[in-house]
Amino acid sequence: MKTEWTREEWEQSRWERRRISNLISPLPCGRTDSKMDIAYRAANGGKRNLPFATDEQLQALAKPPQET
Amino acid sequence: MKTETILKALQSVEAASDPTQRTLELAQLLQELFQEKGCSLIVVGGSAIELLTEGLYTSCDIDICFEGDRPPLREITGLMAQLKATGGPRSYRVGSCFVDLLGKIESCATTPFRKIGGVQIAKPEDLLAERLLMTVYPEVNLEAQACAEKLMLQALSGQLPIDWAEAERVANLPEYRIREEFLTMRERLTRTLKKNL
Repeated sequence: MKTEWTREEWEQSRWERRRISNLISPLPCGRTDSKMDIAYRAANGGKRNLPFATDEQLQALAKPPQET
Repeated sequence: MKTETILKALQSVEAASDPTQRTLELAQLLQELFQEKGCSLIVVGGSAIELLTEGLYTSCDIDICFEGDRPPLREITGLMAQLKATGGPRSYRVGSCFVDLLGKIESCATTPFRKIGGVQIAKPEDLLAERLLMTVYPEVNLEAQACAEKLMLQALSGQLPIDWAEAERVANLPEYRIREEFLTMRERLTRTLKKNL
């Protein structure tokens, strides 16, 4: 059973994980409020968090690097 | 860690383009820092699930436990000062990130912690039971349900290998007593996966 991934393996497989998670819901499912909300928003320009990576960004990460 | 190395790592954390990547970068930095004091860290909770599922779930902070006993708070605050962290002694802000340094890890599963880029992540067998419990108690929680579903679906798809017998055993422990819900969800998601893949 594989229990360890290198950083590169993890990055390249992010899209596949997202694709599978999207079968349940393509929408963010984390909390939208908490007692730390003001502090979170102050740290991230009014948003609770950075925007999640888009599907397109993850698809780009999944591609093997092109040889030059 | 040298100050220069820390500053470079902190810049990398801040430059991360999305919260999932930022979580991993910061966890790597914390692990390296605490390792010098002989401490092994484990990412737990929503951040752990995000790293394992890419499920758009991560909360705005990273929850970290210690594999062994938590070091003295004085020692933790000293280490966090190297990151120019504010707050404390258990909850810190590091740049634009928030870190909760909790106590010794609680784990019922006998499987190994997972590792991504050298960072230890809570065991999915434990995470599943915990999230499943939250779907029902203390009240129905749809957010926890979506989270548990995404985690279980990763496992069913093979993206996240888990020990199913161990996951079922953990779900059945008096700690959780959530085996029926575990089996029902697995059956339903197996059908979902067959239909979509």
